[in-house]
Amino acid sequence: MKLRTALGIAGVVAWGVLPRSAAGQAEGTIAGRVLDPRSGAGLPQAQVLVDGRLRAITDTAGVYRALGVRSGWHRVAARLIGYRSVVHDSVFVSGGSTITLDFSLEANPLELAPLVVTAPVDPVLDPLATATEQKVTAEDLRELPVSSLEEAIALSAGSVGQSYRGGRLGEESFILDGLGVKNQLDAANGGLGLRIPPDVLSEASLVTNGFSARYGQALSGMVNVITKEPGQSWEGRLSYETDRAFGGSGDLGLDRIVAQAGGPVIGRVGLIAAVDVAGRLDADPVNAPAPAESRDPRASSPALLPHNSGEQWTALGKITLPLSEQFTARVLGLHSEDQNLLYDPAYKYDLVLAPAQRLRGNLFTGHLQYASTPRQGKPLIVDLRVGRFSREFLRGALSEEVDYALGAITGRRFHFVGEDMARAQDPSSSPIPGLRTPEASTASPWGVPAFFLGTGSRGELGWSRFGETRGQLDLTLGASQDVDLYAGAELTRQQVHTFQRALGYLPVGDSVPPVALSNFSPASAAGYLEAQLRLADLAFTGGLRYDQFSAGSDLASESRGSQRRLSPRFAVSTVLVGATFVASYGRFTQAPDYQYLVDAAFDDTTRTGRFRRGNPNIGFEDAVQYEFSVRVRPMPATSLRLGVYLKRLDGLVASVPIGIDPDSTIFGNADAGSVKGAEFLFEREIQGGFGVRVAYTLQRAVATATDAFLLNRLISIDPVTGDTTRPARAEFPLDYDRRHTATAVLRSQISDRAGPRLLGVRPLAGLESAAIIRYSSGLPFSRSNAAGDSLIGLPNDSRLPATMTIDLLVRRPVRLGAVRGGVYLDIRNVLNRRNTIAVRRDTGQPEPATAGVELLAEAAYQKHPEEIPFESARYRAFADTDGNGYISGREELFPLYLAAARDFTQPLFAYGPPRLLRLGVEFLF
Amino acid sequence: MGGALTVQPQPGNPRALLLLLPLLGCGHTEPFTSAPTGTDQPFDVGPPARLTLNVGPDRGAAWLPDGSGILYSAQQLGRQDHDVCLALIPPGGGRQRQLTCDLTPTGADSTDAVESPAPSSDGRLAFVAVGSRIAAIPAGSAAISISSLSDPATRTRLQALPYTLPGGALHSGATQLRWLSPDLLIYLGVRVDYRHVCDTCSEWDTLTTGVDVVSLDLRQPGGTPQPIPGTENATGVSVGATPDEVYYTLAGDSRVYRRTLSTGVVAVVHDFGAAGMARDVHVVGNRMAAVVGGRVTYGIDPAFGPTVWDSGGTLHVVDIQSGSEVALEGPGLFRRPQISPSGSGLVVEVYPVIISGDPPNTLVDRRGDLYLYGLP
Repeated sequence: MKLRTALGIAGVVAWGVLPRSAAGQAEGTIAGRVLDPRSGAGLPQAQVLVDGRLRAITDTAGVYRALGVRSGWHRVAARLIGYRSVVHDSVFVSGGSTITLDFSLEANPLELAPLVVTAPVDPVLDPLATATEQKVTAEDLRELPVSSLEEAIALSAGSVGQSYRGGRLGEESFILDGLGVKNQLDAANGGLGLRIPPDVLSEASLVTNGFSARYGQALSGMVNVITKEPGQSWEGRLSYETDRAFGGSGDLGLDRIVAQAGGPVIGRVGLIAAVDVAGRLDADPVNAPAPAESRDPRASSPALLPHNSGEQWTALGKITLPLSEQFTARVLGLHSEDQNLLYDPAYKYDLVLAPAQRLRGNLFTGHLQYASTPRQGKPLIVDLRVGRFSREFLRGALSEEVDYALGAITGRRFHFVGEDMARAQDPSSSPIPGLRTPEASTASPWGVPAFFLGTGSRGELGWSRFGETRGQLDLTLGASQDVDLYAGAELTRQQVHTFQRALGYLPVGDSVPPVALSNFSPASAAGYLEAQLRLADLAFTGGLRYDQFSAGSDLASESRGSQRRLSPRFAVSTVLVGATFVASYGRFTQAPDYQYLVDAAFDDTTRTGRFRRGNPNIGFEDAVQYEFSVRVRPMPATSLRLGVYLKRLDGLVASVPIGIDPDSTIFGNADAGSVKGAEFLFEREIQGGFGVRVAYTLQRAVATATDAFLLNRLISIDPVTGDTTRPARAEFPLDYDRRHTATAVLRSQISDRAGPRLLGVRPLAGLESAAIIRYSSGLPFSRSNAAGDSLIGLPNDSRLPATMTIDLLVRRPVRLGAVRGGVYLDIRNVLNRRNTIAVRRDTGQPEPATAGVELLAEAAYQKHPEEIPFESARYRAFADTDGNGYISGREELFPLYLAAARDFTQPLFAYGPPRLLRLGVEFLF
Repeated sequence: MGGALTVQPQPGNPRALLLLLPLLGCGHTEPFTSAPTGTDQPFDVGPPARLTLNVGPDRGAAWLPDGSGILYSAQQLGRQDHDVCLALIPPGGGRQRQLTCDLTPTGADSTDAVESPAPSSDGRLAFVAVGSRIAAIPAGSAAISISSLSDPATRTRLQALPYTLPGGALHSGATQLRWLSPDLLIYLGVRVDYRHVCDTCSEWDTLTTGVDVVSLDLRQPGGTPQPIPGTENATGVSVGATPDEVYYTLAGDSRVYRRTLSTGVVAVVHDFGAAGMARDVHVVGNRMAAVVGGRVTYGIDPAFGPTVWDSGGTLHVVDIQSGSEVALEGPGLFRRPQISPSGSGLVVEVYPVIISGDPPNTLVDRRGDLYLYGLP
């Protein structure tokens, strides 16, 4: 009863004019009033404590504000002499947000024990927050059918894979506990190289607009991740999940082990650590149909692709040291390793020669925070952060066969042919020792020398190492109850080393591009000022950010020096009739990937050339975004948001032809585009055992090129005259212009005593389930002629079919004696829907046209019409129809070439993943 | 989180373990693999078993020291560069296990040849590597080389060809490479000449005339090959039971000789007498195989000097101790027999005799195949 009364008195949540902290921080703000419930008057000089530390004192109106509260769960108390204290035991503070928490203290001269409220505070949406932000909590990561941060973020409106609001891959930035981390070398195609174990996350959010001037380096969005703090007592989780039990197409070789623990070490020093190891024999499974030809080995086992395994290792450790009442230090170390075998259809029958890759990332950060005490006057928070990020990538042919230890987990690093040469950045033009010239495979069921390769790998070797040391200073000052000021600066020094070699089994020559090397040390700097002003029901945020970068001294002879940008940001929000209206404008800028500053050599299968000249004078890529949104809570447990936005992109990197030969192109800031869209979000929190979240996005993203390497899209060749023409600069739908995206997340929870009894147990009691339903309209693609060198129609004016998936997670809590835990079943693509994600440009279908396959077979036969004798490794008895020991003549040879052509042109990667199952068990302590 | 399945806290409660059984019980499904397409059986079991049907010439057979396979040179006429590739087939015939063609990364632009392979018991391979522009006559470069058996392309050049011995003899080629010891190679140094098949023909005949049996010491890199005395105009060479014995034949001679290297003593092992000129001798244990007579002449060519024209002969197998000999019959004329290390098999090149025209004209096909005989 008392609890309910407490809820009724102390749990009042009020909409009001409340301050906000900069979106994207690792800390949030708790603000509200302390009141006398009888008179309704504010109580001045009341103390507000967060986790036992005095963080704020109410003013004459009883208003308080506690800045810089770490994201996570906290215990918040209000006390005043002559009144009974009230403690809220479960207050979740979200990074970059303000949570409203009012206290009602009853006058009582007796020193009674504090009134403890244990029910979670209703997390009101920050009414005046201007950022377009969608959050994912640790509970989401555990309760939804998602396995990684990236999968959870992809549920956000405006997200198409890792493309946010029509942005290219690599246009996002990543903030970990307030420190920016970015793969500035090749974010467009390389990935960050760091994985955050989901078990250490407090929360994560995707911010697609309106983010603070504190954060730059992002045109499309910002992923803000906040890790947990160690608790007051040791707790942890151990889990293992696998798909072994399902067999056949349900078993794709998954094994994953996660261990996480955290707690106090000495005094108030706390530690949190996690290890996450996962392996999958088919790390990129496809739902392609089985081949009709029974001799194709894939016919009997179409689901699991060989030489397609992936292995991930991630370890994180974090120490929190409260040095004094004002100073807190944190140290974090993160190490990730990703290594994958890559299925290459040409090496289907000589898999050991197919390529592999390895990505390794390290991050070490230190954070020293000063937070003034309420007695020291205006609240001031100073954050000094330093970080060292390094990343190494390798791709090529392995130097030894893979030896699996558990499932797809090897426990050993991959090593590559020529790896030492690449690290030493050896400029030699000679063939790479250990590489052999690929020849037609003799291991296929067809035998004929066509399509499939063996003997040697493709000969590519790519290596890069990127290092970055970053120092960041941020100040937050509560200038008054109505004004917050933010300022800061950031210095970054980077080191770039790259090595690229194509056709490495040959010496550099006419058709073999030279080794592409780079070694330079860019530097960047930034500074910002931002202010927030609150007037009655209006809040204004204005900020200015300065960015600069320079390519580095090695390129000084060509570089024109530092590039600079000023980026203003402005937003206004107001609350009217219980709804929050936000209008924002912002200019965002990011330095281009450093890979475009240097030459690139690659083995190009799309005949757009094998070489791109680097351009050390490439400048910033820019975007200007306008947005208007409305947020409202129709009922206490529901929220609704509508928003429209327009983003104009300019100066994006593209390949600029400077001659007829595609190899004469150079990177330049030559692309422009625009993104327009509308987003709708509805959420009902779990109440009465059921919750739902629905997100819908309508978007149009157009530009000239989707990525910096594209060239041919603009070229058409007149079939009569043979003239090559390039149309005038015009904008076309981007490759990730997905017009309609809808995501529904449904959750349910059955009570502890529900369900029938079976053998003394209620199997359904406490069952938690979550389903994600996704629908997306098709991505665009371009039609081309059969040769692939001339477009039919405009670029990207055709559309793929729509895709839809249903994912499901069912969890049953379990207690084994003193140990709590659970068993869960996770099913992705429950209906095993075959989603088409790519098609051939010549047919508009995943499969090639029959006539096209026959042409391929005919060309291959004409190239090698010679007979195949019995002793040859290419001889196949079933094709020797006259039994004379030779496969000869068109009647015997051509059917083999036709079967080989059909085998080779199977549309494997035109389809999304099949139904994926995993069964997991976890133990909590 | 509410609700718990409470299990009586007994150690090793079986109901608890049931939770783990589905997870631990089985291994992962394996991805698809391609079915093997090889065989260890020849196409035509004979006897003799026909090992190769290649339309290009197959020659220079050599057994692996453990008898687990047969190496030979096989010209691939279906390749644009017409390489003479190194092939390995099972000891009883069947599908090739290995075929190595290009010796350089840019090998597709040239004709590469791997001739006279000689595998050693420690996994090395000695051979004559030849390279030229496609279809060029004569070859652009040649050398006696050594490599690993699995990777002839990664080779070390031991002796470039041609070379001149201190005594003035010119060796423009080398055949019948043999390992006398792990550090000592012996081979037949030859003179290679080219002549059009006929006055109006464009095709070429390659005439290989033995000059000397030569030893090459691998412990002396860059050293000069040393001729073995008494082997001038040799037509065949084989190692004996010990590294101190060498067997050889001479042009125009029906006898097989054995020389003890340490003492210089030469003995006549066998005389084929009226059967004709003996050559291509090969000895394993007490067994000796040789090609005798047939379509062979030895004389002085006005252009080339002493020259052997050899299109093959009859195949004889001799018991060295008893002197008994057997002439094996086959589908053509024979060259370069090789007895297996166990002595139970013999692989040989066979060149069919083609009878055509009116009046009938017999020609020997220049493109031979390998056949396998079982020996008692």
